[in-house]
Amino acid sequence: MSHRNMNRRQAITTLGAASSVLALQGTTLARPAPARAGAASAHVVVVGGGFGGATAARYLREYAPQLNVTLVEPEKRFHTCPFSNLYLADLRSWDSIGHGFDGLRKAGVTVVHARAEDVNTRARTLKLSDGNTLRWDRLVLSPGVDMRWDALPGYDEQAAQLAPHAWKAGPQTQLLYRQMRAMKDGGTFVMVIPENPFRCPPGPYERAAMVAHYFRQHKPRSKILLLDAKDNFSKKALFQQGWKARYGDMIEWVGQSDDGQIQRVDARKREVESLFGTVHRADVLNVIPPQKAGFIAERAGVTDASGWVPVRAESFESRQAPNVFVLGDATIAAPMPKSGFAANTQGKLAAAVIAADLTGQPRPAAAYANTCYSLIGPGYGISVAGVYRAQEGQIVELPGGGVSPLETEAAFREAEARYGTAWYAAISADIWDR
Amino acid sequence: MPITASPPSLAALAGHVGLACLCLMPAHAAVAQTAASAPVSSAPAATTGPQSDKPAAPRLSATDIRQMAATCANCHGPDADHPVDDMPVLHGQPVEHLARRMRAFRDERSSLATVMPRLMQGIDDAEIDALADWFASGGRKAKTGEQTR
Repeated sequence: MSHRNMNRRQAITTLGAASSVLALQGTTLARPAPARAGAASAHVVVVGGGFGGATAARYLREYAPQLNVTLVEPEKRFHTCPFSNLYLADLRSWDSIGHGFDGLRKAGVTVVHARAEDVNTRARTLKLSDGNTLRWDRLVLSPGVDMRWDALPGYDEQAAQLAPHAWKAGPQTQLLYRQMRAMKDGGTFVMVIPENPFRCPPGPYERAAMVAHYFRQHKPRSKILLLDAKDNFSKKALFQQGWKARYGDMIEWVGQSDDGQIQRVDARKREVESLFGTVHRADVLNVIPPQKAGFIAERAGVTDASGWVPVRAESFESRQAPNVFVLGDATIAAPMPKSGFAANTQGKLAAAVIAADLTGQPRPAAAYANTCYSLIGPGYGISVAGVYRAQEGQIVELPGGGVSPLETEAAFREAEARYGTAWYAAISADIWDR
Repeated sequence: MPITASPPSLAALAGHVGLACLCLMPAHAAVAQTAASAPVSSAPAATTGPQSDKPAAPRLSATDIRQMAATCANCHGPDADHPVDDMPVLHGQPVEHLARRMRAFRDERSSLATVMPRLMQGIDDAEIDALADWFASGGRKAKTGEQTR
């Protein structure tokens, strides 16, 4: 109760402070609209135009149209990690996985294409790469992940230009695409896969299937070697069954206990060395390194020693900074996975909580969900699904959930492939394309 | 709509908080009792909370239902104006049809719906009825505890 009470008081103080345009240290504080006394509209700044951030921005405007909402995203078109594996297999075009921000502008969101560079949580400001500083009443960070360049010896930003991670959809994905096309038939595609937690737990294994789909058609004598820092992974039995059914022995997976963990990368030679000294040589080397919360979360002081962001289960507010909400892959939200679907439902909840706080309404009960489809090949999909609630400060998974059955008919796999495509169209419309 | 400028009364706050607790806890208590396979650890509130032994009728606010319904948009589309191939539109469907389908997913595990039986296992009857109302009315209102207060 005191928590709720405090939010009311904060809301009221906030509205008073928001009603003036201020200048700080010679920098103009940009606000999207001048606020009028008595009908002051609070300013919510959202950082990151992906599944979490763009959702939060859109739904803030829907739930409380009187709020000023600014979305900060450097890219004019956001390319999604979901379905970027299908692009590698020529099953989707690059354009079809990119989304612009006109739909959000139409919904009344002010979109600023700049990088977020620094946060002052006391002054409640956000410094941008374009020289502007935004003042905010509530800040939403949905910064995704950054690579931990210090974690895997030999693998840094320069090395990624030779051995792409392709774990942020963009130039890295296109580089991996070109390397696959340039590879000779009979070559070896090596993927290095990190320990948990990392973005999109089933992603590496779907990628293996999509690379195999391309090889099967164009380079059938090639091999795919997966070197994994763990022994278990998302939908493991389903993936292994699907790989075998569609691609025979083309994909070989080596788990941690079979010396799959990599301790050193030589990107120039396209070689990796395992913990026990086995050297694997690749024709295409795809290194997915360990990750952490995106840079701006660290600047805002909301990360903990793990490099990720602890949040409140019932609101996705930072546990470390007041009035700051953090969404998506950057957060510690287990048992919810680091997925676009989960980030979207977190964005909707945070938008509803912020709208409630700023308009003096009771907060909604936290309800989250996840559904992740993975494609084994055309007409062959698998999935994992879960429903989540907040209980006593913890995120808990409701009964049910789980993965597709291992024993089922072909029509089930075919349906899940179609539903995956439907999911992508629906969530894209929900977030960007309407 | 202007933002509320005066502080709400303490009684009103207490009312809201009470409602928030009520709408969350009995729903999960009911879930834990009906689903035999539910691990005890996944529902600590149900086994330790003082209300756990009396499953009162859940009282869901409109914003509680709006949040639950918003997750459906991720596959079914955000509204009737954005239909998606292979996915039934939910908005504007007859309330009985929606409620019957949701119960069938939960209780009969209709197989070719693939994820729906998995997603519906933890959703109780009051939530199903409120969701059906929400979508039947085009996503604008739901039959909830708030209306009967």
